[in-house]
Amino acid sequence: MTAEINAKRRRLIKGAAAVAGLGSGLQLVELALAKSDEEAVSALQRWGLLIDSSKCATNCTACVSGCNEEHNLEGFDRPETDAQWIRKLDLTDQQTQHVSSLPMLCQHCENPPCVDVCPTGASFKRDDGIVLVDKHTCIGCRYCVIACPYKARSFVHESLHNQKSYSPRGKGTVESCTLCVHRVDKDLSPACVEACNTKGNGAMMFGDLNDADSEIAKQMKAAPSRQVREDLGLNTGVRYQNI
Amino acid sequence: MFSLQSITGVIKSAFLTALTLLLTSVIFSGAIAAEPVIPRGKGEFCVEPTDVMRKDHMKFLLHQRDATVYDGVRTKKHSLNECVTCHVQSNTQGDFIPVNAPDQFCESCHTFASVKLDCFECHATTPDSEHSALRELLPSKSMLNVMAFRQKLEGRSTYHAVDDPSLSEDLIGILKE
Ligand code: HEC
Ligand code: HEC
Ligand code: HEC
Repeated sequence: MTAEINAKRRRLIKGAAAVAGLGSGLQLVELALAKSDEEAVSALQRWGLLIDSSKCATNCTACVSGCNEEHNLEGFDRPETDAQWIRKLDLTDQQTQHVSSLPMLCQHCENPPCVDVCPTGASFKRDDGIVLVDKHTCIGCRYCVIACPYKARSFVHESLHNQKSYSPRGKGTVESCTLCVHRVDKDLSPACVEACNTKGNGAMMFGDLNDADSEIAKQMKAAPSRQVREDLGLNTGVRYQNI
Repeated sequence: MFSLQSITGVIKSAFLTALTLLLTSVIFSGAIAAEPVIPRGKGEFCVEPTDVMRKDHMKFLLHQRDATVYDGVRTKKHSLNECVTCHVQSNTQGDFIPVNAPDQFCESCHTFASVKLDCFECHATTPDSEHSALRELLPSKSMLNVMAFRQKLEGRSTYHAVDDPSLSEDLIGILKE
């Protein structure tokens, strides 16, 4: 109930700020949108990504480095087992030889198979649509790793040091893209999106799929986008254009 | 004449006394060796009254854990990161000592009480350098650099740390904000 009122209030203030003026408007919107620290997330939001493959360059890995830096995913030089929350895929059309590129990561499904198979309930979907692992209850069985059609999950095989305070990680648990919950809860966009916009080619957009006024919802309405493996009926929160 | 029974009785009780003495001395020496060192936290007060914290800190932490992970609640009061920020110690060079090191705040008391935590397998044991509370509470080596750097930005001549490699880019970033 309060969550509903707060979400409405935020939208109202956002509208007011947009009317208030252009010069200082931008900062006003950011301030007005911030979820207070005490406020719980709500199902009125559904966070998602829109990725335009036509802007994503084959040789660019800005999103991957952005993610690795944010969460300190330093590897052990063992690509088979090193943690990987986002990776780049190049797709070649067999007929035309056209190569398109895209980042692959947790698709934050509405009906996530990883959640279905988890024996402890550690794999769960937050009310605002972000699919997470509660590492406090994860027993490391890795059913979810197998169940994910996108190969988006990793298992931590070795003891870690120098974790970031906002991204705890440790041996014996499964992990995957958190859509940077720690940033989203402060109304920042995920690190990969920020890296793509500042160092890459601006192929990634983050936003609230449930808010018809959000930039991402408008873009999705205006132009067709696709889900990877839409035949599975998972209703992914990550959508792709031009693939 | 002693009866056979009373002789065994004497032997038995002597043996028991010896055993008790032995055990007590083991327990005592153990307790003395593991006496916890409890350095004061930063600032004046803990996040709850001190006697409540001694007894119930784990309840606050476990509640906060679920509130954050499942509901995205990000209040600072009972956050594990904040405990670390206030209770971390620095060595003479101004570098942080992990809070779970043997003689440090969390660990020395837990060793004494035979409590074993897995929290710090995952959770950071020192504050991130750009941590907000850091600026007010911890005049560490990097902060001394920051102060010196600020003086330089303000055009004063007392700055010495400019070619110090430990002055990281994010600290410069904070100052330019
Ligand atoms: C296997 C890794 C792992 C272990 C072990 C672990 N945590 Fe966490 N913890 C996490 C992750 C991941 C988060 C989510 C961080 C976020 O969303 O910002 C978290 C979040 C938290 C939070 C909320 C964030 C904060 O800093 O206040 C608390 C409190 C917490 N854990 C307490 C504990 C306690 C107490 C223990 C030990 C009994 C523990 N955790 C053990 C991974 C772990
Ligand atoms: C703002 C800084 C600050 C934060 C944040 C903080 N503490 Fe404290 N803590 C203190 C201070 C100062 C004391 C000493 C108070 C006193 O002596 O009365 C203290 C005392 C304690 C004590 C009692 C130690 C003793 O003397 O027996 C415990 C236990 C404790 N803190 C645990 C925690 C835990 C767990 C957290 C995180 C949930 C935490 N503290 C967060 C500053 C802090
Ligand atoms: C004054 C001594 C003392 C200090 C200091 C202290 N603890 Fe504790 N802690 C205890 C005791 C005693 C227990 C066990 C209580 C019990 O089992 O009923 C405990 C239990 C815990 C537990 C629950 C463990 C479990 O597996 O259930 C957590 C989590 C915890 N402490 C975190 C911390 C952290 C983090 C710090 C440092 C910021 C800290 N404690 C500092 C005495 C202390």
